[in-house]
Amino acid sequence: MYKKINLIHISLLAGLWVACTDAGTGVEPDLEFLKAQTADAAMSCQFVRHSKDASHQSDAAWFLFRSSDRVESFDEGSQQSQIWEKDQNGRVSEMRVFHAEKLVLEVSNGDLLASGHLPKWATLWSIVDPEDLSKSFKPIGGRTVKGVSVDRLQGLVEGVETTVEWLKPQALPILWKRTSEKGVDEVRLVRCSAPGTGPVQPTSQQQLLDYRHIDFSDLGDMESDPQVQRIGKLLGHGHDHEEDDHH
Amino acid sequence: MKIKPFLVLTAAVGAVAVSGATQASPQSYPAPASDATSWYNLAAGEVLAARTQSRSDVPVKNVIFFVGDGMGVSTVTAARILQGQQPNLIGTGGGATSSSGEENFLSFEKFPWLAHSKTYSVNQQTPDSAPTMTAMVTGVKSNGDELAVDQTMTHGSTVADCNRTDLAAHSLKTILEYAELNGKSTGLVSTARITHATPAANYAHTTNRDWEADSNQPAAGCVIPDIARQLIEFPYGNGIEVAMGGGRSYFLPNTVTDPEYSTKKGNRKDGRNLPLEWVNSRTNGAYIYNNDGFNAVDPGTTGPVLGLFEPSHMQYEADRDSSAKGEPSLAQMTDKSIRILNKNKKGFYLHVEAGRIDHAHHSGNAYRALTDAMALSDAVAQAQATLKELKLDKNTLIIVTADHSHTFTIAGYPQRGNNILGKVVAFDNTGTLALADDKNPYTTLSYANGGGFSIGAADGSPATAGRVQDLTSVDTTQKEFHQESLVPFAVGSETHAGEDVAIYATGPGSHIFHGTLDNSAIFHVMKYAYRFK
Repeated sequence: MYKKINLIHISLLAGLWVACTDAGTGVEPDLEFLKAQTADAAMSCQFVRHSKDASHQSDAAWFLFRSSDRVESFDEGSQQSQIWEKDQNGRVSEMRVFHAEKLVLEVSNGDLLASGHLPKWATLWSIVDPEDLSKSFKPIGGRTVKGVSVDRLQGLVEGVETTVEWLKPQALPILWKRTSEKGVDEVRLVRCSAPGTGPVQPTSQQQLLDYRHIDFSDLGDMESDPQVQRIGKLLGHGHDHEEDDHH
Repeated sequence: MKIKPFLVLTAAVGAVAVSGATQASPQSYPAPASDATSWYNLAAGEVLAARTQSRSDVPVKNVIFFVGDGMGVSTVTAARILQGQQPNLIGTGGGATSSSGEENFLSFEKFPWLAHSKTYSVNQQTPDSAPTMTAMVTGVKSNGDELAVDQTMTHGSTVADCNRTDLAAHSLKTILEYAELNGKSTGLVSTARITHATPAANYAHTTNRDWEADSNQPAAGCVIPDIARQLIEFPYGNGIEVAMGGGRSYFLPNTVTDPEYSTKKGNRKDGRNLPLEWVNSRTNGAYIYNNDGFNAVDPGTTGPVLGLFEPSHMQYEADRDSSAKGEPSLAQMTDKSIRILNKNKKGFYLHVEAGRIDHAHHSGNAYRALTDAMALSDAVAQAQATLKELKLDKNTLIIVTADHSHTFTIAGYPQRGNNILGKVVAFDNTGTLALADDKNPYTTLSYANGGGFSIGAADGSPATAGRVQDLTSVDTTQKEFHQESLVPFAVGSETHAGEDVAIYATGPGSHIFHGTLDNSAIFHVMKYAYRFK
C-alpha cells in the first residue's frame, strides 16, 4: 500500500513557492540526489502540482517512478496511477490504476495505436521529450539552482504558453508551467531519490494481482458495470472541459 | 477549472507525440463509365439472377457461421465503399484498381439469400453480444450479459451467484454442442479473446460474460467454472477441435510470463496452465501463439489446436504484424480451421468472428472498424475458395451476420466516389466542401454518441464530443482519426445500436433466410440444415 505523505506540507510548500516566484525568488528543489545522476538513471521523484484560476486553487502531490522498462506516475489527489511498460520488442502499453476502486484499466499497445495516443517512451521517461524540447521550445536563458545549471525554455503546447526548466544531463524538468488567460497549471520538482527510497512507493506487483483488471477495448460492452460507470466519469471527455470551465 | 487526473502527462504527450498521420488518400475516386443503358442492364441482370436463383434443401454436412461483431448495415455499406475505393488498403486487394466504391460488393453481399434480424434480448431493446449470440446459437432469447442460460437466471455478480448449483438445469444447448453430440468436429475462430461473449456463447454457460478467468469471478473456487476453463473442459463429444483467437492471459497463471510480452503475466489465480492442459489431455494436441507456430500446424496430422495469439484481443487488421513473430489474419485462421476440421468425415461446425469491428466502433475509429469488416469479407471469400478446393461447397451452409449494430452513420450528400473516410464534397461539381450551418465542413461518417472527435497522435488532443474545430485542414482519412459524435460518452464507450442487422446466406438451406426474423431463428435454420434431432 501507499505510504501517505503529509499533503498539508506539500500544499504549504507549493503556496510559498508560488508567492515567492511572483516576487522573483522561489523555494528550489532538492537536487542533491540528481546531481550525480544521468539521463537513463532509475529514480523516484516527487513533484507538486499547482493549479490556479479565477475561482479555484489547488495543490497536489504528484510522483514519477522510472526504471528501465517501466514508468509510473501517481497523482495523490485522485489516487490514480498511470503505469507505462515497454516490452522486449519496444512495444509500450499502459495500465491506468484506480487505487480507490482497486481496478486496473489495461490499454494495450494496439489500443494505444488505435486511440491515437501511443506516446514516445522518451516523453514518458522525462515528462517532456528532450528532442521535442530542442525542436519546439526556444531557450530563454538559464539559471543556477543550488549549484546546478538549469536550462529555461519556452514554447506553445496546444496553443498555451509553456515554460520548462530543464535538467539536461538528467533529462528531467524541474518546472513545467502552463500559463493562459484562464490561469496557471504547473508541476514543480520537490526532490528525487533512489528507487524505493521516496515517501511513496510505486504500485506493487501484489497490488496489481489483487486488483480487478479491465481491458480498454471492453469498456463499450460494460456500460452497466458499476465500477466502469464510476471510472468512466474519471476518464473524461470533451464536455467535461466545458463543464469544468463553467463550474 | 476542475483538475483532471493525468493532465500533466497528457499535456506532455500532447507536446511531443509523433504524428501518426498517414499520407492523405484522395478526396474522391473515379466512377466507372456508365450511361442509361448500363444502369438499366445492371438492374435487369440483378433481377434475372434473383428470378433464376436455385435452391438446395439437401442436408448439410458443414456449417460455417460468421459474425461481424457490431457490423450493422451502415458498417457493411461503408466497408463496401472503402474496399472499392482502396482495395489494397489491408494488403489483400491483389493490386486491384480503385473505383468510386459504391458499386463494389463485399464477398458475402453476393450471397443469394438475405434476411433482417431483430436483435433485441429478453431485457434489452439494444442488446450486448452475450444474449444475441446466445439467441443465434441456441434458438432462445435470453438476458443481457449472460451466456447460453435461460431468462430465469439473474445476472451473476456475487459469491452466491457464482456458486449456484442450478446452472445445468437452466443451460441452453448450443449448435456447437449439437454438432459434437452428432459426431462432428467443431471449431472457433475470433479476433477477440476466444473467451469473449460471441465465441464463448458457443461453448460456455454462465450468468456473467465477464467471468472469463477465475480472477474475474467474485471468489476463488466458484461452482460455475470460468469461461476459459469451460473451453478446456468442454464435455460434449470429443471436445472442441480448433480454438484460435486472443485471450492468452485468461488461460495462463499469474506466475507465468507471457511468451510475447515480457512485462505481462497470466491472469489466472488458480495456478492452472490451461494451454498445457489442452496439449497434455489431447492426442497430438497443439498450442500455438504466433505465426511461426501457426505455419507449423499441419492440418493433416495435427490434433486439436489451441491458438492464443495475444494476451487479450488480437490486433486490428490495420495494425497486424504478419511476420513470423506476428499473428495470422482472420482469413488464414478460417482456411486452416476448415482444413483441420475436414479430417472428420462426418463434417463440422465452425464459428468465425470478426470481433474487433465492435471495438473500433466503441472507440469511434471508423478506419479500423471498416478495415476489420474488410478482413471479414476476405475471410468469407477464403472460406468459399477453400470449400471449393476441398469439394465441400455443395454441402456447406455459410451464414454471415452481425450480433448488433452501432451508432455509426453515413450522412450528408457526398458526391459519387467521395472518399468514404473524407469530408463531404457536395455533388454540385464545384469540388468544394459542403458546409454545415456552423460554416465548417463535416465528415460523411460519424457517430450518434461516444468519445467523439480526435485527430489522434497528430496532436495528442483528447477526444471531444460535438463539433470541435474547423475540419478544413484536418486529414480525416488517416488511421488515427476519430469521427465526431453527438452525445458525449467516455472515450471507448460509443454504444451499440438497436436497429436490425442483415443475415447473408448461401448453400443448402440458405433460402430459409428471408423477411424479418428474430436472431434466434439462425439456430433453427442451422439445426434444420444439419437435420439434427
